[in-house]
Amino acid sequence: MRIEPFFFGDRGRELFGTFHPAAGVNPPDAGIVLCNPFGSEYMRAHRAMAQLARRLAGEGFHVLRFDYYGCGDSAGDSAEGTLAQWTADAIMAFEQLRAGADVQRIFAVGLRLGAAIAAIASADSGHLSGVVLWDPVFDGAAYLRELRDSHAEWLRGSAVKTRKTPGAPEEILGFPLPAALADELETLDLLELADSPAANSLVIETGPKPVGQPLGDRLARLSVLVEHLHIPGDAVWVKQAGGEELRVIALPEPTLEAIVRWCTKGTQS
Amino acid sequence: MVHERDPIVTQSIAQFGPNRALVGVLTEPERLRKDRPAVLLMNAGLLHRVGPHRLNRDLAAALASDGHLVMRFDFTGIGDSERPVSERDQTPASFEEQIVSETCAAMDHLATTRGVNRFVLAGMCLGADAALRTALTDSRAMAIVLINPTSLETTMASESDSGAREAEARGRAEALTRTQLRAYIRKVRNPRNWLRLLSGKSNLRALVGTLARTLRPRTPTDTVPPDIRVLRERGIRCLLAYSTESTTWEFFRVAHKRAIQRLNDRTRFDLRVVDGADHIFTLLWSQHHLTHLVTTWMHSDDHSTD
Repeated sequence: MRIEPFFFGDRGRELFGTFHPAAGVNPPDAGIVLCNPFGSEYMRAHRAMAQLARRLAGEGFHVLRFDYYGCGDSAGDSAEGTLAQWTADAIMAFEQLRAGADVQRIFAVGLRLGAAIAAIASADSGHLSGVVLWDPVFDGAAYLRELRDSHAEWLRGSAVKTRKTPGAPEEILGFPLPAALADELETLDLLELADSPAANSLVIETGPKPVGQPLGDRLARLSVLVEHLHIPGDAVWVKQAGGEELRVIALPEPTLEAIVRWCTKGTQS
Repeated sequence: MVHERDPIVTQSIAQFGPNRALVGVLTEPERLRKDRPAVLLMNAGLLHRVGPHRLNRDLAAALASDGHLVMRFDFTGIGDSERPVSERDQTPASFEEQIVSETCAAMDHLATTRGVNRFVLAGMCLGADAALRTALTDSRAMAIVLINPTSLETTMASESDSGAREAEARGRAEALTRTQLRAYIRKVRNPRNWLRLLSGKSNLRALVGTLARTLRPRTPTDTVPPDIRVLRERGIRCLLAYSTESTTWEFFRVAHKRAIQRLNDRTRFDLRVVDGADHIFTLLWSQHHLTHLVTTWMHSDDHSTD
């Protein structure tokens, strides 16, 4: 099926969306919204997220990918993004898919910070059927340290020249990290999530060691039926080791298959 | 930066090519200047049309705010452009042929829908390859912006010449080595890296290999790439922008720099080097610098009144 790119939302603040209509003749009753990671992680994971959308559509789901405000093809400067804005954007994307594709049940799949956004937006909107948290960021302060360490490590290994520009925001691997966003990340803690994001959740981790058990436990205490998978493999959101810049992008086949399988199973139950 | 002089620019979707399978985003100002050529921004490597760190999007906004109609789009197999189902059983054209035909399809689309017949083709890395190769075959391209092109390493003219290919391969390997060496020199200045070396955590074999390769004699070449000669003969304006921390610059510096500098008239042919920037312009200052460089070159030209 041919994809349908479009802009939606308020004039001047339009978000870019890509609708992947479900394959097959029977109209589906479930749709899936994909929530992207942030910054360079978005840039490097774009291919994997697009592939995931195609595969989910191939299994009979209507799928919507979208860019947050100030990200990707959406309106807004890169320095204008905030977690609150992106959460509101995700809720708008849920409604866009529900109304635009006429589906009763909405699932969300989020990668890294997108997983946190998917979880918070799902909890705030209050009526999602399932949420997939792929290598979720659940401790914002730790994530912030990781971002800053990654940037510092890249600088140490590179011969680029740094320049101080008065008034310029902090930067992380090519993207601004405005103070407001850094403050929001500092206090982000999914282990303090107060409301259930959905009836079902898949927490899927691809690092060498799984670290998401506390998040699974928290979701279980919120009466979420949680499945936790550990599939060690490529971190699709970072530059691939040994890969020439712009020429190697990982596609995590087992992870994509597991997400498609869980969504298919989840919508049949 | 872009938004300090940003009148209202709008974005819209473009779908074109066979089965309308190619996806692009049009950026344009409220008042389009008909005397200015349209600009096509091509994929940087395998990254989708937004570009590294949104560079293509920001560049599109900056150019549109100066009156240009700008389209950034994905080649088949990248981003949102999929190979049409009807073509999946066919033997695909070579990627080189594909990117030229799809860039031509983008120009056809804007010619048909917007009446535009003059174009500036711009891109980084793979996108620069597409811009150069298309400009050599389609006379609607009046100017090109090549940012860290790899295409000058494997010129169309040298594809049938095995000696030239071998020389280019040697040059490319040397370029990579020297880029690595500069990274090592930077690391040497950092005391934490000495601790890593002394504690055995550094890759000593890679370091020694790089030093040994750097001490070998260099490939003695310094010529104008044949494709650049053709561009000049046809009167196609060219901005050639390199970042010093890209291997493409290292190759170019050894193989072509002196010869090219003799052509540099800042008007028809302009070679610019961004000191301290990496291949994809990761640091924000380098992104702003590149955007300023391209927009300034576009405005200082004479092709809006040709």
